[in-house]
Amino acid sequence: MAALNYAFENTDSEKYVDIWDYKIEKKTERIVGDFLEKYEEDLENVENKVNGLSKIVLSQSTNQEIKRKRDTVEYHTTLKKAEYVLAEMEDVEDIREQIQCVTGLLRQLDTLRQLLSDDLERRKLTAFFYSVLKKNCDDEIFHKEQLEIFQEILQVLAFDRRKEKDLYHVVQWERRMREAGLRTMISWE
Amino acid sequence: MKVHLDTTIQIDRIFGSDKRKSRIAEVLEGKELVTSTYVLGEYYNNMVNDYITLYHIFLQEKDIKQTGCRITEKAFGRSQGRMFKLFNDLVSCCDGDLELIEDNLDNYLQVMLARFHEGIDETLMNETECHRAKAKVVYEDGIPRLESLRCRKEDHQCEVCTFWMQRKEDLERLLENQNYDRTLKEIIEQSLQENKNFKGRNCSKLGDTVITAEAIGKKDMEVCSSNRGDFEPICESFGVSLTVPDYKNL
Repeated sequence: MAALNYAFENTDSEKYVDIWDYKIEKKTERIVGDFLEKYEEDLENVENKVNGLSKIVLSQSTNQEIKRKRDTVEYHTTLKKAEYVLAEMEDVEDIREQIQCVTGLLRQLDTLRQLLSDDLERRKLTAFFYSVLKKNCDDEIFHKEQLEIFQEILQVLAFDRRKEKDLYHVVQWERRMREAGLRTMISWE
Repeated sequence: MKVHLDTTIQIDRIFGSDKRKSRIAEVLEGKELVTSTYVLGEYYNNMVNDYITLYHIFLQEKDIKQTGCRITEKAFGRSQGRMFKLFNDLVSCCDGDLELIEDNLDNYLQVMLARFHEGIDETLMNETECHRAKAKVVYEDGIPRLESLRCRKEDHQCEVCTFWMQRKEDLERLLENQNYDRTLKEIIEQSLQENKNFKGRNCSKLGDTVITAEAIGKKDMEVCSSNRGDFEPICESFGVSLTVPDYKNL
């Protein structure tokens, strides 16, 4: 500070002020420049991160959408296969033939059940249908009324109508199946 | 003719083999079927409670072998064999698939609750106002639990004492029956001295007696049970007809 005062007192003051202003201006420019450079660098980093994240989110939602659509297609294809097997069962004349058809139907129901992991009502009806088929397929050849009930179940399974809860309610299907002569309940004997 | 179905018949109507069901159908044909809240309470306390316990054991283990092992341990007491066979049948019709078993455990629970009332012609007889019949299956996080099943001597939640006081003379006649169970006679004698002894565990022990007493004085009403040995002396003393399905050679 003493040196500065000395210089000030011993030089042309206007010239000195010009030099001093110049130095300040340069320093300010450097500081602002550094700051802007850093700011732009940060901004670029943030932008990159945001772009990266949105790409991930976008690709996740696209993947989910693709998976959902693929599952829906698979679900309806499986249902069609099940309907096809069921139609074949109308012409069955031999219990061994029926057992072989039922294996195909059970396999399709198994696939349906896995695709219905988030749809509790339809999944439970599928599970119940599975167990009834398994319980009865060795006993007698399914008659028309029983096959019609099976067809109806496949029809209600085709669409998500969760608001119409009774449609999938196992109790009403159990009753209809039992009245049509099917064994529906687990036995303790 | 009305026929009052006891708990054994109700259980067989739901879980029995086809042969048993057809023998039951033979004796019930053309009759008006009735039952009571007391029978419903027994059904909840025995069958539904056992079934939900089995359901919980399975949810805890998520393993067929381990569930099987636990059934053979202490949880089920006398109904161990029955629950083991039920579970075995369930596993068999679900191909041992754990998810399928879990879904069907719930399906069958809904069915067993609904089927108790099936074919019953009128509202349940309710002179005992059995508290256990008010039990409810509630779901917490998708897991079923049976609520309000507790029944103790100290609780004032039913009318079984009044029920018996109105049938005091019938009980006195039963006490004179040589064929009636001695232990049950002692319970009745104690309960006549102090009414609260009719409640709680004693009420369960007197189950067959309660069910038969519900038919006393009812016009054209008989009782149907598969347990002839225990019901016959009671029916004899109470002047109630008994009908028993023929399970021989099944």
